[in-house]
Amino acid sequence: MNRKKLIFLLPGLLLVNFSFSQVNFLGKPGYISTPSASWQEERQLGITFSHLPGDYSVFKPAREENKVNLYSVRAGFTSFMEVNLSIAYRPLLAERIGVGDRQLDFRFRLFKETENRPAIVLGWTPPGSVSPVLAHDYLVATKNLETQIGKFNFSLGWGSPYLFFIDKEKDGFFNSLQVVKKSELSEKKPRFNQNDYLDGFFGGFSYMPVDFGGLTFEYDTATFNAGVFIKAWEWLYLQAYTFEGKAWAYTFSTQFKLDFSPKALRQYEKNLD
Amino acid sequence: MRKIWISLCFFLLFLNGRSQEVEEVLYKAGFENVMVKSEGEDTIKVFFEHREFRSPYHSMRYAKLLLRDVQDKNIVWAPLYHNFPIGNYNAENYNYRPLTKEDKTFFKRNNSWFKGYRFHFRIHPNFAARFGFYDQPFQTKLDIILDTRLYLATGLSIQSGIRIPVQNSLDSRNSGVRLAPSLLHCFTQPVPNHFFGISLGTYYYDRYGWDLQYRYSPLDSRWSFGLESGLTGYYRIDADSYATGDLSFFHAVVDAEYRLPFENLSLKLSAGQFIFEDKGFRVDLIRQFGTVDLGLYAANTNVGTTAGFQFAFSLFPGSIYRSQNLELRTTEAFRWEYSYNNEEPVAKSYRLGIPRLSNILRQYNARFIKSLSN
Repeated sequence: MNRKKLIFLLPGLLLVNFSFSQVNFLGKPGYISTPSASWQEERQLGITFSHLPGDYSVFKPAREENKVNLYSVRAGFTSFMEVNLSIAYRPLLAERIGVGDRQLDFRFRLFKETENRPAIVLGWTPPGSVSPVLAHDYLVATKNLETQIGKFNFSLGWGSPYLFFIDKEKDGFFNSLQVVKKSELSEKKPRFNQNDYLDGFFGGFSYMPVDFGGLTFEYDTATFNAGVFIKAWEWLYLQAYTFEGKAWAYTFSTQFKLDFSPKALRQYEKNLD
Repeated sequence: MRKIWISLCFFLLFLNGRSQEVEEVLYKAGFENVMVKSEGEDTIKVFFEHREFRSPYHSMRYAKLLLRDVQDKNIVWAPLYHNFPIGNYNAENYNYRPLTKEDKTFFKRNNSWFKGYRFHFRIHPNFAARFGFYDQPFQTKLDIILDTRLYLATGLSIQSGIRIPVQNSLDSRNSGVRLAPSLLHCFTQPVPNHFFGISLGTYYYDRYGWDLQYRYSPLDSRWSFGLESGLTGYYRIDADSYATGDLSFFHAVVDAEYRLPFENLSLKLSAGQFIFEDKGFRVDLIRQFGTVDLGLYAANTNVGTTAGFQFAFSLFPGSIYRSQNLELRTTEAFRWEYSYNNEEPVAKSYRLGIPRLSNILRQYNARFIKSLSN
C-alpha cells in the first residue's frame, strides 16, 4: 500500500508543467510572503494588489496603524531578468508619511527547471534607499511535480541577513552606504522601521488538486502561514491567506502578455482561422 | 501589329487594375499613400504608410495577409514614416535593402502627400506624476490631447491640436482648454541610412524652440549612432494668456546604441549636455516586444544621479472610426518615464509630441523585425 502511494507521488510519471503563476504579496511568483523560483514566461506584466493587517504587516511594530496596501508591478524584461516595483501605502499613516515606501528590486533566473533539477532564482534589491524597510536579497530553488492527485510546487530559500542603506548625513554614494544586520537595524537606527522580511531560511509549497485553484503553505522565516488561491482566469488570481491562523489577508493579481499584436491585426487573423 | 498593340494595352490595363486593387484593399484597412511599383515580371514594391500600428512588422504582416488573394507576385515593402520611405523589406524573409535612387525617384513622382492620406485625429493622454512628497503624496496631472498632423510636402508635416485638462494637483495651471504642443516637423533620409528629424514648435515640459535629431542607423546593423540637439526656452499657454521665455537652453547629446544578440535588448549610452544644461551621461537598457517597449536607465550629471524606468505602447483600441477621408484613433506610442530622483532633473529630455528618431528607427531594425517574424 505504502509503496503504491509512493509511486503515486513519484515525479516524472507525467509531464512536468512549469506554468505556476501564483504570486506572493509583493507580486513576485511565490506563495504568501515568500518568493519562489517560478518564472512567468508568457505573461511578462503583472499587477498585484495586497492588503496586510497591522499585526502581520511588513512594517513593524505589529499594530493597527501599520496595516498596509501593497501595489506592485512586475515586468519580465527578459527570460532571465525581472524588475519589480512596489509601493507600500499605509492608509492610517498617509497624512504623516505620504504615499509610503517604494521598493524596486530584480529577480534573476540562474537556472531553468529541468526534470531532475530545480529552478534557481536570485532576488536582489539594489542598495541606495535611505529607508530600506522592504529590502530583501535571497536565493531560492523551486521544483514542480505533477502527480495523479494534482500539481505540487516546492521551494526552499535563504534570505540574506544583511541590509544596505544610505546614511543621509554622509556625502557621496559609497561613503554613505552602510551595511547592517537586519536583526540589529532597530538598535542601530531607532528611527527606522524594523525589517525582518526574509531573514534566514524560508520554504513553502503549493498544491493544485484542480486546474482553477489550490492551497499554499509556507514558513517565511518568522511565521507559518497558509492560504487558498483561485485562478479565475488565466490572467486573474485571487488569494486569501492567514498568518499563523490569527489574522487574514488577501491578494489580487493579474498577468498580461506584452508581445501582443495590435487589435486590428489580431481580429483579422482570428477571422481567417 | 495592331493586335499586339491592343493586347499590350489590355495587359497594361490589367496590370494597372491589379495595382489599383492592391491600393484599394490596403487603403481600406487603414494603410495610406499606397503606391505600387512594378519591379520586373514577378515582383512588386509596395510603398505605404500605416499610422495606427507602432511596429512596422505588424503593418507588413497585416498587408501581406490582406494581399493574399489579390495578387501572387513577390512583394517588397517600402514602409513610409511621416511621408518619407525608410527602406526596403522583403515580404518573405524581411531582408532589408537601403533605398535606391530609383526608389526615391519613383516615390517623388508618385507621392501624394495631400490626397493619399486621411484626416487623422489622434487621442492621447498626457500624464505627469510625482510621488513621495509628504504634504501631498500623489501629485498628478492628466490632460487629454486631441491632435492631428497634416502633410505639407514630402516629409514635411504640421502637427497641432487641443489639450483638455482633466485633473491637476501638480502645478498651478488653470483648467481651460488650450493649444496642445504643436510643431512643424521635417523627416528625411537624404542619404541611405542617414536620418534627420528637424522641428520648430512647442513641446512637452513647457519648452519651445528648435529641435534637431540626426541618426546614422543602417537598419540591418546592430549599431546606430545619433545626435539630439536643440535650442529651447520656456513657454506657457493658458486658455487666455501666452508667455515665452528666452531661447536660452542649449542641449546636445550624442549616443551610441548596440543591439544585443539576444531577446531584443538594446544598450544605449548617451553623453552630453541635457535640457537643463546639466552635463553627464545616461545608460539605457531597452527591451522591445513589438507594440510595447520597456526600458531601464541610470544617469549621472553634475546636478545629481538618478535611475528609473520607462515604457511605451500603443493605446487600446487603436482605430476607433475610419472612413474614406477620416480616421479617429488612439495614439500609436504612449510613453511614460519614471525617475527615482524626484528632486533634481537629471539627464532629462522633453517629449516632442511625436516619437524620437531613436525610438522610431529601433522599430525598423531588420534584425528586430526578423525576430518578431520567427
